[in-house]
Amino acid sequence: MENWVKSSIPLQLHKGCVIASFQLDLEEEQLKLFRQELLNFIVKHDKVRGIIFDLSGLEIIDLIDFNRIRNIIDMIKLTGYKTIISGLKPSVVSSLILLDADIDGLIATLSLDEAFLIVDKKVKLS
Amino acid sequence: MDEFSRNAQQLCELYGITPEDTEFIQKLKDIALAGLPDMVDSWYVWLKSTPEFYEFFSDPSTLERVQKMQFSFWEQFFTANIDGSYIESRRKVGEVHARIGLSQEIYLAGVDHFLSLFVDMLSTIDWSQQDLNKARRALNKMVHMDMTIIVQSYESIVNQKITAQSKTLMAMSTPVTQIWEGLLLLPVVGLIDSRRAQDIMDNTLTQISTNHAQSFILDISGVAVVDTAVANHLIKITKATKLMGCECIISGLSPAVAQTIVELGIDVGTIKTTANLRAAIEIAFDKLNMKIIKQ
Repeated sequence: MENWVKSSIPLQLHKGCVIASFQLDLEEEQLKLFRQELLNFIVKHDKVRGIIFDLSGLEIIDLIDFNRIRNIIDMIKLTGYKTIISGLKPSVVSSLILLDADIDGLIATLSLDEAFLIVDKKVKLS
Repeated sequence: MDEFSRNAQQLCELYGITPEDTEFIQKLKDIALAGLPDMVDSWYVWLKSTPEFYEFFSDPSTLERVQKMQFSFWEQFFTANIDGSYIESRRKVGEVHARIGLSQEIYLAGVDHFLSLFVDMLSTIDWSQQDLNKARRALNKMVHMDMTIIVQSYESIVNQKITAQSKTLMAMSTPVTQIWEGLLLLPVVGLIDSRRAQDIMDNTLTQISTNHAQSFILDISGVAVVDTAVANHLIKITKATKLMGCECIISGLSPAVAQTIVELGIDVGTIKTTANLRAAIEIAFDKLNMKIIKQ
């Protein structure tokens, strides 16, 4: 399926990991497109080892955005892959906690390096 | 000075002090200044009956200085030239009171005593009843205005002190330290309220981000009370660190705290807790793939 319209969230494949870098502020339409693209991508490539969401470019994430991202992660889970969130800013985390965001079951890291270590199962997850 | 303070003209308007009033005060000046030494003496007789006298005026040289200041204060009062420097001098009085810790109570009582002495003085003057009434009213207005300025500046000094203190307290309340590469420690002492919890969280998250920490130990052995609110704050801090890719271990849970948490039915979920710091450090090192070995 070729789409004329594309989400502006680039997908990169690195060492078998799909890295999605979120740069702009999130909009619903964009996220929907992105969801479609990502799910197509991982189903097409059969040697994906993990998915990393790089959120370091986002200055603000509200609860709705966060839940949309969560939904995408849950969908990816259904396809049998693990998603790691990387690079959340302290201020973003602080506001998400204030908003009582549900973060159970999420895997987060500070940097891409650590995210790769988790994908390689070099770090024990608690 | 705070931006809400009024200038001389606005104060006069607020208290309804008219040029007529100040004229009356000025007319009273000579009579008042002549009678002032006696009045001050009688005032000190009254002051000696209060415990504050011995606290603040036991030193004779201080007493003399304060009396001189009082004279110039009332002289300025009866000159009744209400301008910026007049207001400023009143503010200074309030600031001095706040700094030496003289209570508002004794100051207000003292002013009231002075006022009654002035009213007594008025009764000795042979003016018409109408003029006397007007003069009395003018005196009241002026004294009340003085009192307001002094009380206000007293308050602002006290508030400044409190703000400075709470700032110091906040600054020393969250000493997040890196005890090993990737391992942060924060011993919490005292009480945890929502403001402090927020402070702890913000500080911790920044430190995790700058130090690239993978483990964070929160030692609560110094926390006096752990109730539902405190437990919720701790759970939130743990969740936040998790979003930063950092594992949070809460150490120093006393038997009493463990019991209350279970009795209150608080769901601590997946939070790792240990009884002492040693166990927490062991867990953290285990996560960092390190081990402490005795030589």
